[in-house]
This record gives sequence, C-alpha cells and structure tokens, in this order.
Amino acid sequence: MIKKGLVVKLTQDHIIVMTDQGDYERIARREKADIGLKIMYTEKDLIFNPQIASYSKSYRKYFVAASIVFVLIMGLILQSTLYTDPEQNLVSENIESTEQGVKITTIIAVDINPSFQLMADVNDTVVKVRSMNDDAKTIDVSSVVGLNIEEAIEHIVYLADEAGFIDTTDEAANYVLVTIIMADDQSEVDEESYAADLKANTSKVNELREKVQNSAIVGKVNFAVTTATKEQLKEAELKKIPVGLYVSGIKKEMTVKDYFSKEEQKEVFKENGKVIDKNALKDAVREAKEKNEKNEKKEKKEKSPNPGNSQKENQGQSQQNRGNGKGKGQ
Amino acid sequence: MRTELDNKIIQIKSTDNKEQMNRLIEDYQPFVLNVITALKKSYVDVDNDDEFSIGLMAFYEALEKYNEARGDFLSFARLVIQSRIKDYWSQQKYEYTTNLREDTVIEENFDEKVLLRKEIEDFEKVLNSFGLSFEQLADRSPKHADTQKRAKKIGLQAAEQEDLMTHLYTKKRLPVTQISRRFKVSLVIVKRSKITITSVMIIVKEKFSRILEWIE
Repeated sequence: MIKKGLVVKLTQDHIIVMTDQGDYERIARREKADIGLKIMYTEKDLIFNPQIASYSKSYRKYFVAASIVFVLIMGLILQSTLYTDPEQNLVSENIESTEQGVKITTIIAVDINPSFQLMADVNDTVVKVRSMNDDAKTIDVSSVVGLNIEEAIEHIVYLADEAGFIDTTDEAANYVLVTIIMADDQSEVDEESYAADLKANTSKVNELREKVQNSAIVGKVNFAVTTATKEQLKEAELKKIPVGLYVSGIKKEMTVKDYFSKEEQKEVFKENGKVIDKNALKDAVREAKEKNEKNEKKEKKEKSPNPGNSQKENQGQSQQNRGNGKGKGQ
Repeated sequence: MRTELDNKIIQIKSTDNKEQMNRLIEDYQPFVLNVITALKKSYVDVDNDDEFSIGLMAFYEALEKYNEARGDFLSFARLVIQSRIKDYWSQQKYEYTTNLREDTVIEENFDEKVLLRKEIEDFEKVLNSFGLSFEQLADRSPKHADTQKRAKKIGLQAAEQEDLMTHLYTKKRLPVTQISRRFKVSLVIVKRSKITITSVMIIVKEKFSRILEWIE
C-alpha cells in the first residue's frame, strides 16, 4: 500500500509524518525532506521505535492490576497443564484458515446471548467478527475489528450492555462465555483426539485464557472461559448451542444464563474450563493487594525505629487502596 | 531460476488477461515507488507525482517487454523504471534551462508551502503546551487502519462539541468518559486513540485549515 504523509518534524535520523488519516509515523530520513512537504512512502520506509512502550500510562496501571490476577490464575492453570501430553502442543501449529489473505489462527466464540465469533490473526488482533444469532445481529460490532482479543471481548460486553442485554438488576446472573478455538485445519478428528483436545492446554490457549480472564477485572459480569476444537464448533453451530456449553455435555438448546444458574452445571463446566466469578475476582485482587501491603509493612517495621506510627500509616494506605479498587469495579 | 512471479507474468501474457494484468500493476505500486525513492534518494512529492506516473508507465512497459530470456522480472522492471526516470530528469533539466516552465505556478506553490509550514510549527507549539510532542504522537498512534480511521472520526465529531473542547483546553486533558458515552464507543477505544483524538481536536480548534485539509 502506498501511504501519503505530511512532513511535520525532522530529527537526526528520521522523519515524522502525519498521514492523511490524521495519525503519525516515523519514516527513514532522506534528502530534501522539509517540514510541510507532502510525500509518498511505503511500509518499507517505516521505522519503529522498539524502546518505546506502546501503552499510555493509564494502560500501564491496568496491566499492573492485571498481572496480579495473572499470578493468581497461573496456579489454577498450572494444575491443569500437569497432566497434558506435550505432543498435543502441535495442535496450534498447522493453521490453514485465511480471511482476505490474513491467516486466522484463533476463533473466539463469545456467548452472552447475543452470540458472536471473533476471528483473530497471529498477533491476536481481531480481523473479522460474525454475529451468530438474531440478537447478535441487532448490535453493530464491526468496530471490534483491529482490537486485541481481550479488548474486543470487553468492547462486545460493553455494546451488549448498551443494547440492554446485560441484566443490571442481578449482576451475579450475568455470564459471558468465552470459548477459544484454535483454527487448526484438522477436519477429521477421531473420538480420542476429541478428548485430548478438550484437555489441550497449549501454551497459546493458556496465554489467551489469561488475557481474557484478565480483562474480566473491568467488566461487571462473570466470565467463563473454556476451549473447543473446530469440529466441535461446527457441531455446536448446527445444533444452535453455544460451543462452550456443547463441550460441557449440553446437547440441546440452552442459554448461557440458564446454564450457569445451576451450581452442578457450573461444576461440570469447571472440568474443562474456568469460571471467574466477578466477586471472587475482586476479592482475589484485594487479597493480593493486602498481602502486598502486609509485606511492605513488615519491611517498614524492620527499618522503622517507631513501629507504632508506621503501622498506623499503612492501615490508612490499605483503606485508601481498597476504596480505589472499589471505584474501578463500578 | 524463475520465480513464481516470473511464471505468473508469462502465464498472464500468454492468456492476455487484462484484469490480472491490472491487478498485478496495482499490487506492485509500492515496488515502483520504492525504486524511484531509492534512485532519487528523497521521497516523491504528492503534489508533483509525475515521477510516480512515469514509474508506473515504465513498470507497464517492462511487463510488455518481458520474456523468459530476460531472467528475473523484478530486476528487469527496476532497470526499466530507473532508465525512464533518468530520461525524465534530463528532459526536465532541459526545460528548466530553456525557460519552458511557468515560474508563476511555482511561486504560488511556494507561498502555500510557507503558510503550511508555519501552521505545522504553530501546531507543535500548541501540542507542547498540552505536554505532547510529535515524537509521542508517532509512537502512540494506533497502528491499525480501522482504528486510525475511527480515531480521526471521533476527533472530528468531538471537535464540534463546545463543552468537550472547553474541557480539553481548560483541563489540558481529553474527557475520555464523556466522549465514550456521547459517541457510543467503548472506553478502551477512546483511551487507545486518545492522542490522535486530542491532536485532531487541536487542529480544528486552532483553525489550522491547511493541516485540516490534509486529513479531511
């Protein structure tokens, strides 16, 4: 693609241009490039500055919180990876599906009712979104294209909420079922590999799980995350059952909300997937924070000549942090 | 050794498939531009893109003349483009020295350029007063085409709303939550495109008409 840029700044080794889309790029420095010149360039001329974090400060804050949850969840995931055969890691490797020349490596089914499918490329960027039922078709979700998977899921929950699909009177009843399907082109899968695939915790799937689970921190819903194969996805689609429920043994039409309203079904789901209760998540974050503070307190105690004062100070801090956490959740 | 592209061109030529030929030229536009940029050692001017047109014609000429005996097509095409561009330059030099070019047109463009340059410099000063710089904008711009388009659109819409503009200028901070609510875009997207939205709003507010014309 040929790009057009307005030269806005010259530095020693590169040029900053403003594209005709209103955003900015660094390109290689060449002769006779004055400020105000409108030039043509290609991807080849782009310069990336790897040292600069691509996230703004507010994002960093979010990641700190997310990494706390990550550590907590890692424990759970490790448990389930212990009994997986390393050879199953091959699952994610032969990928054939393409969408307009872009390789789709992951399909993510998002069922709130409405139900959607996100198609993502190797960078976990959503390249296509499909509305899977009539409710889904009432919402314009085209804007998720270009977002990361976890951002896209968050955005879809937001749009569903705007459209009134999220129960605001009983938030505990809201479940977002996220099913991750690696877009491997194994059209013939026998019964045995089905079972194997169910447990297939490839590093890739794990990574995605973490990301999705992390994004639950800002939602006002519970998240349920599991995995499925492409074959299972096809079968579930034919039977009009959310694929995440299909892999949990549901063979007739049922909504996500109904499924998770029953404790015993939740338990069945947990065999293959993880349920992240909204409150449990908040509690987990708070616990982690308090633990951190305690550790800090200990350190301070050791250093401080006046332990009484220091403790008081820390208590105030912990109170404040708790308040902050609450604010974020709302 | 023949490449996949070489075989494809031979096949297209033998079947005389105009549609495929056009698509091939379309696909290789960046290649043509890169050859010219490398030869020129500077970028091709958008307002004076004769060189690019000549490059495209040369690429077409190369396609027409290509046969198996020529070896690698891209090397051959590069030679043809370079030679046609050089021809154009020597012709231009001749016209310039014999006063065939209209100087008045150049004069007008020159004024326009000075004014645009002034706008850019003023724009940078305003950005600085917001604690922003072109460097930051370049490093934090959304990199996906759809996200970019969306950010520009939100920026232009938000610029029409007096209260949002006042908030931005008094607090020197973008009212992300209000923008998210008003334009029905999620907070994630607004935060992600924060810098682009801010810069578009500043361009509108400061009436940098020449820069605005560029992005509109």
